[in-house]
Amino acid sequence: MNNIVIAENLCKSYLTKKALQGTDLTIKPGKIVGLLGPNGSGKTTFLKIAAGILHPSSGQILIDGQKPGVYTKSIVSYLPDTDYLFKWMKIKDSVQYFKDFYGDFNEKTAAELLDFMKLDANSSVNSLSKGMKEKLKLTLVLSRKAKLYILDEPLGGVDPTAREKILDAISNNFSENSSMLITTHLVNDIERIFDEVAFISSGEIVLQGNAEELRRTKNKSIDELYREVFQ
Amino acid sequence: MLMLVKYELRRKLVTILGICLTMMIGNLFLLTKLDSWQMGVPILSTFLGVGGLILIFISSLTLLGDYLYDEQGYLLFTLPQSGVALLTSRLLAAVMQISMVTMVGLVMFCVIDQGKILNALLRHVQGYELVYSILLYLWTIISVLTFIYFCMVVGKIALKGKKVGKIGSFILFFLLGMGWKVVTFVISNFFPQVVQLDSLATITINVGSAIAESVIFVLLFMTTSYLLEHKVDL
Repeated sequence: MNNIVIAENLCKSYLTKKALQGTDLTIKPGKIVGLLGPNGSGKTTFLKIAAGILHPSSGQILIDGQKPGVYTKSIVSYLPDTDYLFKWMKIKDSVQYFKDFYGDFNEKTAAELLDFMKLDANSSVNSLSKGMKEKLKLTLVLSRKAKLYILDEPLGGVDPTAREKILDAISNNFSENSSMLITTHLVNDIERIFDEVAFISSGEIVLQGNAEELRRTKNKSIDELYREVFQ
Repeated sequence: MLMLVKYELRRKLVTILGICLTMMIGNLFLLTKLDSWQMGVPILSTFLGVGGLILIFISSLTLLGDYLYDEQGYLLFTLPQSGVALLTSRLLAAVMQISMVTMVGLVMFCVIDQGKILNALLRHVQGYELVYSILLYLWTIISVLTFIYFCMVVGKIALKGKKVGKIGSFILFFLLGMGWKVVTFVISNFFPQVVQLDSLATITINVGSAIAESVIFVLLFMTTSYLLEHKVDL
């Protein structure tokens, strides 16, 4: 099968800063890939380019063989690290919104995930705590049968119990026909679900490989490896 | 695309209802003062209507502005929608919400005026003039908003910062607005042919400048749609 993501020599510059400097990354179908790096390393920039809401200064990224655009947005399910839902919405309104706009949205999965996350469909989005909002966003994103899931800090600001719940939800709802790209600082919590990892520093991939092979060859956990690379 | 319009109107529901209710309550209060304030009542009613229109027009600018500069942009710009759909839905939502406020303002003015002006208009205005007025009303809203949205999008793309981008958009609006007027003025001098509609008042349309404005509108619409789809960075 073709690679779902192919990024070649991807660069993104802002006025005085280079966020990405020739990033190369390939993601195979059916893989969960961890994109790991410290603050300001270019993780979110890469994710935003893949999601089609940021445009590269040079280089190329293809999602399912196509440049980011209307088609790729229909097959990419993106979880940004922001409070992007409308304040007026109730949880059921946000579910309806996703159902209205995404043909691959599965209402039954959404209902099951809401139940699993213990979220009341009649609650107002505005009244939810940070952790509950994170669970809701994840519910919406995972309820799509997307080819590529892009999760930016899915565990950000979430307590340890909720983290486990979120990781279980990710694992349980991931299908072999999809791929997933996840960024996180909480490497120790999430490394168990990674098939592959890529370490990014100053906009460049500095280490990449199969998670299990890296553990075996380096005789370290991914978390320990992360600390070694970015010490 | 109609879904986008639906969610925009839902998002602005409180604003629309707030403006309409304020106009209704204000006009009902004025109705109680008809005897004592006399001519002051229709004047104040007109002020209320104009105020409502200014507020809903500003609200129409945020139909796009909020998404360019706030986190809700992540919701809109990740949808599998083309730039044309994004822009058209903003324009349709704006026309609908402005029309709702306009209707309430007109109805309340008719109540205050006890239908005198409305009856006079119905007696003298021809059908084609009514159609022309409605088309002119729609054209004005759509062309002005398209122009402003174009300036907002270019400002956002060229100047990334929120404050700088907004100021840049305003300067661009000012400069391009003058440029637009100069172009239509020059064209109307080169092509002085006009169409005149005679009725209560004479309506004069310069053919050359009307065509130029239409072409500029199409260019602005297509460019803004392209920029929304391919160039806006969040």
